[in-house]
Amino acid sequence: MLPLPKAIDVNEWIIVAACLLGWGAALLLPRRFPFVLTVLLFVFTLTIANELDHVLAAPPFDYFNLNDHEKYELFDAIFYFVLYPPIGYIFVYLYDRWNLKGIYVLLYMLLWSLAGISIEWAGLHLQIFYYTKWNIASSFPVYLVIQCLTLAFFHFICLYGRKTGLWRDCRTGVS
Amino acid sequence: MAISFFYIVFVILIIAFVCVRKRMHLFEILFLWMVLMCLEQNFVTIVNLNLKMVTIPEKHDIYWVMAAGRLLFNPLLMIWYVELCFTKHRTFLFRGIFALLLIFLLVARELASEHFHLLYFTGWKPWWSAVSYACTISIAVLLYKWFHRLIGKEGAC
Repeated sequence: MLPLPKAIDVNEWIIVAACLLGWGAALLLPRRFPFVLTVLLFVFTLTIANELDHVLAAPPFDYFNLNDHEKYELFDAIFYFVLYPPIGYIFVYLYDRWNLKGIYVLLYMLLWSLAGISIEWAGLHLQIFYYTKWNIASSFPVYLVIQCLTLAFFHFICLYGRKTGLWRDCRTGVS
Repeated sequence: MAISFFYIVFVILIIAFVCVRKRMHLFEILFLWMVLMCLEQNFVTIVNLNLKMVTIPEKHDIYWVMAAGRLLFNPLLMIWYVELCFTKHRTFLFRGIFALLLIFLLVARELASEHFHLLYFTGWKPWWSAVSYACTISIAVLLYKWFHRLIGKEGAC
């Protein structure tokens, strides 16, 4: 069903290391959000990354491939289900922790997008990604849009949670 | 024509879902919707791309109507089922009958899609879809119960 990699080489090890690093960082951060909010953030990040990558990488678009096979393989699933959620969580965590406002929000998103592009560029050289019709510049607006959606989702959840009495002030880290 | 028909059904269903009064917390609906989208998307990718048991013509209009089906229609019906059967006390028979009705609707959409040449079964059996939907509904119910308890602990319900 999910093919195994042709060989456990550098791209698989990088994914495993990135997963450990991401989860390690997310778990080491002091608890800031209510658990419900954390779960929703994890699931939102997973869903948006998963859906977007499936749309872009699968036929009829087929813009790029991941890892060793053109099929959906085990390490693709690990990539989506294990790696993306903690990264989205850390993105929102730091945004909330530093209480960013105004132009700093844009700068913050630009920095994350640049980091994303750099990691993707490294991923291309480490044979995690193979572009067929995609190019790295196209990823930049995608990262920006996803970050906007993630922050909009976070604010909506905070607002609705406060309105329904689920938590009083999620922007100041009540947990 | 068939594509327009599917879109009309999806839009009517979404409007009906939004308008009807619900007992589920919005976070429960969002949580279930996102999880079901992920499950559906990954399952469909495995069946279509890896196993090649279902073929979808590589046309953009067909792709999007099928995507709307698995990302809007299926999760929405499953969430409605949870809303109807698990937000207040219902008998086992009531839940069972509604589960069968839901599975029938989900499989009927697939069969209608094949009839209108929006997808082709190349080795896939419709009763396998029924089994996979039964599993997905069970997962949705379990996840709903877990998340409902979680929200209850934090004081919303």
